[in-house]
Formats: sequence, structure tokens, C-alpha cells
Amino acid sequence: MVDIDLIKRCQREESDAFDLLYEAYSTKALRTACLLVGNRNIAEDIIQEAFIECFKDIKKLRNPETFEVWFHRLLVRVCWRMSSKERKSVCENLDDSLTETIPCKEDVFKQVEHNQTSHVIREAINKLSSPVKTTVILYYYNNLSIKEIAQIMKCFQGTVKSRLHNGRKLLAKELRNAAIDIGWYETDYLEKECMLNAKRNSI
Amino acid sequence: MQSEILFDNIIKSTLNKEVDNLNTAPGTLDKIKAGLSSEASQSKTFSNRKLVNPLLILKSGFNKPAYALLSAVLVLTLTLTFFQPARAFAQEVISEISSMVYVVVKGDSGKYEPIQMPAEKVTFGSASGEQTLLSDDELEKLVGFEIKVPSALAGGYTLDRTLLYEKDDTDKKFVSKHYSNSSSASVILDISTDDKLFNSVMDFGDNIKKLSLVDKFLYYYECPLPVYPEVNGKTDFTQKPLEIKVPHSLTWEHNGVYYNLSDVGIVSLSMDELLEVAKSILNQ
Repeated sequence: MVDIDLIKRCQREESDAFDLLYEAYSTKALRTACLLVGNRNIAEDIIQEAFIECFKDIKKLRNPETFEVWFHRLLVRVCWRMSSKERKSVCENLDDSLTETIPCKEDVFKQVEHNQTSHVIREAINKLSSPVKTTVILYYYNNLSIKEIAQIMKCFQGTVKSRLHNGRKLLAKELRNAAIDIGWYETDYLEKECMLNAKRNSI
Repeated sequence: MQSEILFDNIIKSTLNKEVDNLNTAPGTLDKIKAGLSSEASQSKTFSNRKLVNPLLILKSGFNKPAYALLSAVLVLTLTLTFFQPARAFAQEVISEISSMVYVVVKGDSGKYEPIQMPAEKVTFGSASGEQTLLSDDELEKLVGFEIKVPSALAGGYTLDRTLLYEKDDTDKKFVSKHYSNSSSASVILDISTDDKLFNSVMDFGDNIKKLSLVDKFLYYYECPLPVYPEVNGKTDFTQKPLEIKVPHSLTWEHNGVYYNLSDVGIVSLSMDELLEVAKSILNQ
């Protein structure tokens, strides 16, 4: 929920309001950026750049209720821009420091299984095109609606739905290809996808 | 349905756990605050890279006699990224300019020089653009004309980003493709159906040369691009330009679509170098 009063205070350039806004949004923004560009160092640069632009331009935001969409849009664009500059880094995996530590021996098996799943999903997401990847992350990680994502990416809601569908399909395919020991990847969902595809192809 | 939810939950859970332990580094806010104070110059550098051909954003209906008399063109280049009511803002900026402004003319020495003139004698044009990740096919549907350009051009240029622009005095859209190479040279390819681009070369371009390439006529020209200081995030035309860039460009028409290839004035390209790049577009 957007703190409208806080946004208005930022628009009045109250210094402590900037601090509070940073505190409220920086962690999630960093994590989003990291998922989008796949590199923590670049993500930190992105956060700096995004908040500089945010603080500089927040006065221009006419409707404070739309702050979250506005800020995500700004963040995504900085990510795209930095990704262009650091194109080689975009496909890098997240670095080791992001890998979870294993809490105790009993959880080792689950942890390995989870890491394997994470690895496959992470790799699969990195293979997605930028628009699809951005859509998937905004939808699944930031819990944004189709409408909000369309506003952020300045495209039609149908385009978002289509990208989401394509993203799911590609992720499902990658997971299925990699599902050597993990049976639950072979779900009805995948079967349904195959049936739908077959139906489409036969039309 | 349940398996769909399960699948969605797996993705959500993986993404969440992937970055769960990630927190902002201490001191980031201080860096941001420090960056804000020096932001103006950084922003300017980036904005300059985003500048498109000034001829494209000249307001329609430019008073030619006034131009002939004053030999000057002032172009308001606004890159209003993230700002929804861009057009209203541009109008606001323009209406605020009521005093003497600086424009650029070619002096007796043959060099471009800034001179002052009353704002009412200068026509302002503006365009707002935003980066887009739409594919060329999707863009074609949006702008209504063909966009078929390669992602790699001669000279080792590769596509950095695509921007979608709207001219603020019309609803016309145009597409701008930004390329760079390993030598940090940049070229921008603007694509539009607005024939003002083509026609205005004759009016505003300097050192115009008509060339022939791959059965097409191309026009090579240069046009000064002043870089003004910014005050409170707005371009201040009442101050002397910080620098005057001189982009070199090639423009041509193909199937009713106008193309303008420019070196942006950051790293100057020779006419032959620009022609090589244009050739790789025409030969695709």
C-alpha cells in the first residue's frame, strides 16, 4: 500500500521523507534489480541510479497513488539501460553469495533438491528474452497485476498475458528437460500445455 | 488448475528464496544523496546520448522568413522519461521562456556560435521518448509503418536500445534505434513517416551533399546541436550553451518511410564511414 503522505512529503523535498521512502522500497528494489540483471554489483548501481532519478523526478508525479507503478517503471528502465551497458553480465548467474546457506544436516536433502530446482528455474529465467523475463519477475516476484505490468512496460495487457504465457511455457519446458529426479515437474499443467499446443497446431 | 497453482508457487518461491538474503549495502543512501548533488552533469551526459536528430523535432510550421533572417534554429530537446504528461510539461517549459534565448548560428569564421535573440522569434519543438522493449513487429503495429533494420551494422555497431518518440506538437510517433561499437562510437537511426525530416534537411542542414547509394538518393548534412545548462531539471535556453555538438547525418527515403542516420556529434564519423553504415541498412 502506497503511503501517499510520504510521497507528498518527498515531493515537498523533505529530507527525512526521502530516507523513509528509501527504507521502504530499497530492499525490494535491489532484489528485483538483481533478478532482472542477474548480477548483484550491477543491481546496486541500478538502485543508486533509480533512487537518484526517483528523488529528482518525484515532484513530477502528479498522482501519488500511482507511485508504485511509476517507481517500478523507472526501476525497470534503469535495469534495461544498465543491462545494455553491461550486456555481458546480463546472462551471468547470480553470484555465490546469493546461494542460501544450509541450516542443518537434516535439511540437506531438501536443500539440495531446492537448490537444484532454483538452479534450473534461474537458468531458465536467464534464457528468457528481456520483455518476457521482466514480465515474469514483475508478476511472480513483485506480485504486480497484469494491468500494472502493462502500465510499467507501456504495452497492452494482452501483450503482458501473452508474455506471461510464453514465459510459463518456456520455464515449464526447461524444467521438464531438466527434471531427472524431480517427478512433480511432470504435472497436468505441462500435459495441458502440450495438448493446447497440439490443438493450436492442428487448427 | 491445482498444478498450475503449484507451478506458479514454485516460481514464486524460487524467486523469493533466490534473493531473500540480499540487502542494500550500508552507505548506499549516502551515495544516492551525494549523487543527487552531482546528478545534473551525469544526467546531461546521458541525455546527450539520447538526443535524436534535431531536424526531427522541429515544430511544424516553422517560419522560414524568420529563419532566413535570423539564420538560427533553436530546438528544445526533452527526453522526459518516466514522466506521464510529457506534452503538458513541454508546453509549460515553452511558455515559461519569455526572455532572450541563445541560438546557434554559423559565424563568419565558419564556426557555429551562440547568439542571443528574443524568444518570440524562435520556434520551439519538442519530442518525448522512452525506451521500449517491443519487438520490431510490435512497434510496426503501434506506429503504422515498416521497421525492418538490422541489429548489427557495418563498423561493428550493435543495437543498444530502441526508443519510441512522440512529437509533442502532433500525435506522430517515430522510432529511434541506438547503436554503439567497441570504440565507444555511437550512431542513431531515426525512422519516421514524417516527410518534414526529409524536407527540412534543405532548410536547416549545412554542408549538404546529395549522394547515391544502392539505387537511392541520400543526403549528407550537418546540423548544430547546442547543449544547454539545466536548471531545476529544465533546459535553460536563456543561458549560453555549454557546448555545441555538430552531428553528421545521412537521410533517405524508402517505401514512404524516412530514415536518418546520425553520429550524434559525440564521436564524429566521416561521410564514408556513415555511408558504410547506411549501406549495411540498405543492403539488408
